[in-house]
Amino acid sequence: MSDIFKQLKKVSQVDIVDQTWIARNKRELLGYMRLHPLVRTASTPLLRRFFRMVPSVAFLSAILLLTTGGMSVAAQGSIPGDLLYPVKIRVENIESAFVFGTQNRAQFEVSRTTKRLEEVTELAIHKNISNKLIMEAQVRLERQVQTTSDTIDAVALENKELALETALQLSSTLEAHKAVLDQLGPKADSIVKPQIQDAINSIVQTSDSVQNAVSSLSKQSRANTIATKTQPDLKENSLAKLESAKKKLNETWELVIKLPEDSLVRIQAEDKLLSAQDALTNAELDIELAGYDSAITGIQAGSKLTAETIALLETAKNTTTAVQQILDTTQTASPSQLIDPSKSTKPTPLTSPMTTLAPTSSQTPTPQVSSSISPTPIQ
Amino acid sequence: MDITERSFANIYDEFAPKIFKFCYFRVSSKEEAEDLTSQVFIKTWDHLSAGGALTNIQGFLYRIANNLVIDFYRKNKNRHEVSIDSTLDAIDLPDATDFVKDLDLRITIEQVQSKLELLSDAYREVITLKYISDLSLKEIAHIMDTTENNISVRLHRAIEKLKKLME
Repeated sequence: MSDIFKQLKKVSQVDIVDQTWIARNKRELLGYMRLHPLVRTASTPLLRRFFRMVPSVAFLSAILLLTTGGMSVAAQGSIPGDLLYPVKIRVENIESAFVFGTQNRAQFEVSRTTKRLEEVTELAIHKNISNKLIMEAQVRLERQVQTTSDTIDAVALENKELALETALQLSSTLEAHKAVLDQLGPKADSIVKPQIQDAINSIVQTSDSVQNAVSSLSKQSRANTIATKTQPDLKENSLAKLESAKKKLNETWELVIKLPEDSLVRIQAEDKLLSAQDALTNAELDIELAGYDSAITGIQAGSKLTAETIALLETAKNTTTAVQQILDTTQTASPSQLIDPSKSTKPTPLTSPMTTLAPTSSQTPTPQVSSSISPTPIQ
Repeated sequence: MDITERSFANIYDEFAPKIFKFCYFRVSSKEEAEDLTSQVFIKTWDHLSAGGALTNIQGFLYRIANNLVIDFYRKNKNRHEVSIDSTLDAIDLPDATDFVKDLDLRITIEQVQSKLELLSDAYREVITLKYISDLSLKEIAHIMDTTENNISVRLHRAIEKLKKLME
């Protein structure tokens, strides 16, 4: 008889649950919670009356906005919770009605995603912000990413290459904003740290499906090219893709060298572009050796890194003062290697011979590479 | 208790394995137990998001879990009665604990399950809460919405029944 009690005791002392299921179910629960946020009522009737007025004020603002251009500009910088935020959304909806063509639609949705990402980032660092607003912004972001992914799927039916390019833009934008939040996390006030982590989690959650789409489109595009082209066509096609990737890379270099030499963004951008150059140089060699599958993979890798750099630059350019202040505070408080070029951590050494000629972070990025790729932007 | 989205996620981390274990020893199926556990947290969140308050989170979760198990039995009454008597159960049992990696623990779980299945659901309920979920009589009384005395008597009878079945 004591056996059963021993067994019961043993069972009572251990967890028998499947941890994979626990994690998966938690994600689903968090999703459910976002869609059904906690209701927080205003504490006084006066406040309640004020909040009831907010939609009407916003609506009036929208009318004004449509008649005055300045208002729409003012609304562009608003975030959820601001009086002008509904105006911003309304303006976007109006703009959306004038977007024609699948590719243009996809581009428009990518730029809308960027706006939602900026809002999530901005809200994450606000101290006195309601959970409901944060949750709503995250749900809005997730829905927007889904919409953008759907439009990319539509583009893929017409043109896989363009779809891949747009998907890369989307994934790079998500990654760049996550990187900003990652940097903010350790530096921000402890009150907002959980909010920042929530924002990171929200982006990670949406990033997975986008990354899968990028990977799947890359494979499809590669397979299509290899399967449908004859050998001479393949070479021509690969060279055309390489040229296009190089052009984009050089254009991006031009933007990067305009940044202050000691800025963190420039160091990160240079690092990515050097890797992109590496990938393209190797791809060029692969084309010479008729290794087209490998060449296209290299071109895709180079294009991805370039897209990531562009997203990094865009995100840095649009960073709000509030976000920048947090990042700057730490930089001043701790003159880290990241901002002091003389102490900067060198980019991860690359294997290509080109890497050995890579500039230090304090130099203008003018690595000597084959003439076909010009890392020195054309002056 | 002032619950936020964040604190509820922490509550999930702490209680989901416990609620799963409770459900699992009541329904003897991993899938059903997972489904019930999931429902427990959704229902609790619905209660909170509708403005409801929580004073005893553990008690609340177990009470919902217990009610869901009772509903489960009510809905699957016929199926359950058949499955207990079915000779195929002896073959099905090992698969039911596949998700437990430790073989020794797996055997123990199966032995406990086979003994609990010999009890009526009312006795199984109180034994599970007391010895598997390791709750006090007071906590069990709260979950089952009755008095501690009542639970004490029920537990005593359940143990007696178990002893008899083991002879």
